[in-house]
This record gives sequence, C-alpha cells and structure tokens, in this order.
Amino acid sequence: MTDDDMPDLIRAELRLQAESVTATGALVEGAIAQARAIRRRQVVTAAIPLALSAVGVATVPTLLSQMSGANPSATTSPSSPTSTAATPMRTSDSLATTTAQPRLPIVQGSTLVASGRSVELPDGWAVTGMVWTGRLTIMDVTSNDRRFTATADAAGTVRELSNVAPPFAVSADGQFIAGLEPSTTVDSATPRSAALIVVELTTGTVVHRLTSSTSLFPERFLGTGTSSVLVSQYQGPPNIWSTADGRLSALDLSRNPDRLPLAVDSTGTLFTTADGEGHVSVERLGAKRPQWNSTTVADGPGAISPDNSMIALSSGDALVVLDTESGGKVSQSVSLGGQAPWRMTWEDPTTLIATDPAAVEGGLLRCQALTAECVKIVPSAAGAAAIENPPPPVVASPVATP
Amino acid sequence: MRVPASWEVVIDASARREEFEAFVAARSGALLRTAYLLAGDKHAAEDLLQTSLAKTYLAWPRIKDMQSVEAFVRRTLVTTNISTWRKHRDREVLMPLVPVLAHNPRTDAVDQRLSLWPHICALPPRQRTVMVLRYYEDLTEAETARLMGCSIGAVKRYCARALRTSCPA
Repeated sequence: MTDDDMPDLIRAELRLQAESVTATGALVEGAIAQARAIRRRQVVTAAIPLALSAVGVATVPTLLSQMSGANPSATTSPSSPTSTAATPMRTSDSLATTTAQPRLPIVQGSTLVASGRSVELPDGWAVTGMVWTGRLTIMDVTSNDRRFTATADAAGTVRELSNVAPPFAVSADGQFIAGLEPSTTVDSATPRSAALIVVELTTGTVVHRLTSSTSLFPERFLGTGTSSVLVSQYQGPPNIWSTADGRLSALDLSRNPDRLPLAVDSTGTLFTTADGEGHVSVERLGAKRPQWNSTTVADGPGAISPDNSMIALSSGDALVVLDTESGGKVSQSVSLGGQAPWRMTWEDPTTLIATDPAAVEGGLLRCQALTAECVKIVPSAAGAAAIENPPPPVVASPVATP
Repeated sequence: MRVPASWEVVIDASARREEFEAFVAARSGALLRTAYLLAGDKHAAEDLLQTSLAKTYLAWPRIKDMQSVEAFVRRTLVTTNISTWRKHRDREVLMPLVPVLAHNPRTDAVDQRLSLWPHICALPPRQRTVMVLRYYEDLTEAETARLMGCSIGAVKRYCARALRTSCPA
C-alpha cells in the first residue's frame, strides 16, 4: 500500500462505518425541547468599557460572531457603583464566590445592572454584547428574530437605536458608532452583502458609508478618531476600512492572511493573532514576522489589559494570561468549577470579568490576572430588588441622547 | 459550546415546526451518519445531532432554503463537535482499541481498510473532521476550510497529519 492509496481506503472505511448507524424517531422532540432549554438559559453579558476592548473575528464563528468591537484608547474610567471588597467564600465546587458586583454594566437574564441601578429589560430581549462609554451602555440585542442596537443611559432609560444595527463598534471618544444599515444584518447562517455605516451618536448623522458585496461588519475603530475601522467577514480575512477614502484593504499581519486577530492594543497596531490551529502570536501591523509565537491555543477573542501589558485568553475551559511583550505565561487558571471564561473584559488593570454565556447558572467570574484565581460572582439581590420602581419605558429613537 | 446571538431566538410558529419535522424526517439518517463519523460513537453522535438540530431550529427563520438548512446543520455539527471536545478533553474518553501494527508487506488493501477505523477514531477532532469532510462528504479543501472556520492551509496540514497518522505500518 502506498500513501496514494490512503484517501481511497479512508473513504471506503468511512462509508462502511457510516452505514452501520440508523436514526431514531425521537430526534425532533428532543431537538425542540433542547432548543427551548437553550432559549430559557440565562444569558450573562458584561459590558466592554471603551478603554478595555477585545476584538473578535467571525471566521472563528462560534464565539466571535457575538463580539461587538470596542475601542482603543483610554478615554473613560469606570465609576464604581458597587464595592468589590467582599470576602470570597469557598464553595463545594472549589470555586469561591463573592457578592461584590462588577463595576461594569452587566446583564444577567433580563436585568441590566449599570451605574448602581438595575433596569428590567423588555421581555424577550437577549443581550449578547455590550459596550460601555462611561455614560451610555450600548447593547447588541436579539428579540423575536430581530437583532438591533439599544442604549441605556445613567437614568435607566432604554432606547432602541433604529438607524444602526449590530454588530457594532464604538469610537474611542464614545461619539461615533459603526454598524450595519438596519436593512442589512449578518449572521453566520445567512451571510450576505451589507452596508457599513458610521453614525454620530448624538445627532444620528451618517458620517461614513461603505457598501460591500460580502457580509462585512465592524469589529472596532483602530486608534483614535474614525479614520479606520477593523472589519470582519464571515467568509474571508479581516480588512481595514479607511473611512476617509472608502477603501477596504486586507489586514497585513506578518504577510500571512491566514492569521486571525484576537485582540488589538490601544494603539491599534499591535495585534494578538491566532493561526488556523489557534496558536497565539503577537504581531505588529505591517511587520514581516510575529513578535513572538506561543504554544497557547486560544478558543476565541482575547482582551488586552488597559496598559497593553497583558493579554487574557480563553483556552479550553481555562483562563490564560500572557505577557504582551515576551509571550510568557503570566498565569493560567486550573479549575473554574465547570465554567468557561469565554468572554472577558478588564475591570481594572489587574482584574478581569469573565462571562460564560452557556453556564446553567451564574456564568460571571472575577479573575485576578497575575494569579488567574477566579471567584464566582453571585447575582446581586439588587437584580431582583433594586428596581421596585416600574421598569423604564423603552423609547424608539433614531439616536441615543447621552 | 458557544451560543451565538442568532441562536437565542425562538419563534414557535407551527409552520416552522412542520417544516423542521419534515427536514429531520428526510435528512436525519444522513446527518446521523456524518455525526457518527465525527464523534466516533453512536450515543455521542445522537447527542451531537440533537444539539445541532436544536440550534438549527432556533435559527430556522433565517435559513432561506432547504439546501441552506443542511449546510447549516453540517456546519453546526462540526463546530459543536469540536467545541464539545474542547470542553471535555480533560475527561476520560473511551476509545476503540488502537492496535499496535507491525509492518507486514503481505497485508492486502482489505486488511488495511479494516484496521483503519480505530486509527480514525483516535485522531484529534480537527483531523478527524477533515477526514470526514474531505473523504466522506467529498468537500473540497476550500469548502472544508469554510465549514470548519479555518484556513485552507490548516485543512491541508490537518489532512496530511491525519493521513500520516492513519496509515498503518
């Protein structure tokens, strides 16, 4: 037998093995029951503050399609509506718990907790991504087969942004939002052409527009201002949209179009990337070779620390923190009590908030970057009790008024 | 493992359920066979297919035609299988025995084929997925890459490694 025979032998073997199984009749009921269980599952989402952002690329579709880009430079600092100083308590599943709530806006189930206020969101809203500008919480919402953008201000007023659809990214100064024209939404199931727009949040004015025959969507603004936007597509490499001249150019990372960006630093030039097998590297825009390569395998987008010194990544069910400069491993979690840190955002320069959207309960962790020790954040009683007032009205509005 | 936003939507329209039931009745056999080859175990294959069908049911309103449905399910099978493996890779997994093969120049092709399944089951999930998509589903490298969400180069690497690993003696 030669190597050339192997494909034919494998083909024959696979077909023979496949014929040995037959379907049972319970699949429909089981699948529908499971679908309803997925729907009922509480979605936990933590906001990405403008200063501390992650970036996702949809060609790693399972997680990254959920990510909304955020922004590069530190222009806002999170206020602290709740204390983080509660003493962790050890539980039977070996993961300690804390009642100290995140200092970032979060959604647990249908409750948005932001700026010390709990807001009950309209029934059926699933918030799968958030960006926090310091004044506004901008949400990626799906409800009744419709995906749209909504905002919540400090007063707890929730508005729907009718003129820009997710996935979206928000500029560093919080003044502009890049997204899709509402008539064109994209998802991994039905990729199609889309029109990208940049809208001024306060006035609703469309300041830049780009039409494309492929399903592009914005990941984040690069650098300050609105001159360039990193955009992704479900089938193809990421690009940079130069809004000044409307040009779209392929992202040039180590002259290797196969590499996917996982996170971008605040300068918009240093990318954490992964190859086809998920191995992580750091490379500078336009450089000939990566700054370093790592054997760490990333499962999704990462989050770069506010000072650009560390990269937090989800690897398997573990949290891994790497040193940006050297690629050395700063820390790695051992066990997270069955939860996976799939999405992360930095609460401060040394602390991460990680969410597990598929967790049966909870799904919200606070992790120390230097040790990768995590505690489970127990949902606040505020979620149930803080709003004794009636939920605020939802106002359909072309723009949000901060 | 990860739940995209689009999967959070459910419309319990009866028409959708009827369409969904018709699709499952027509295609569940073929899909289960693919799931079996991906998962390497019948019970795991049924779980994998059920999960993939549940996700498909949630995404049904956005899937425009039956061809897209099948493509969606296959993609979901692939991603869910790899994700499941990632989540549980630290657990003990029962695998078929992989025979220790001594080189035997007289071994004919039939014997070689019969000995391949344990080797295929023992492949890492991405390599096994490439084998199934390339040699069972007869997809091109580009189609395989698109379905797996990776590059064509990665597909080539997985394929080469899998062939090298699967080749007895």
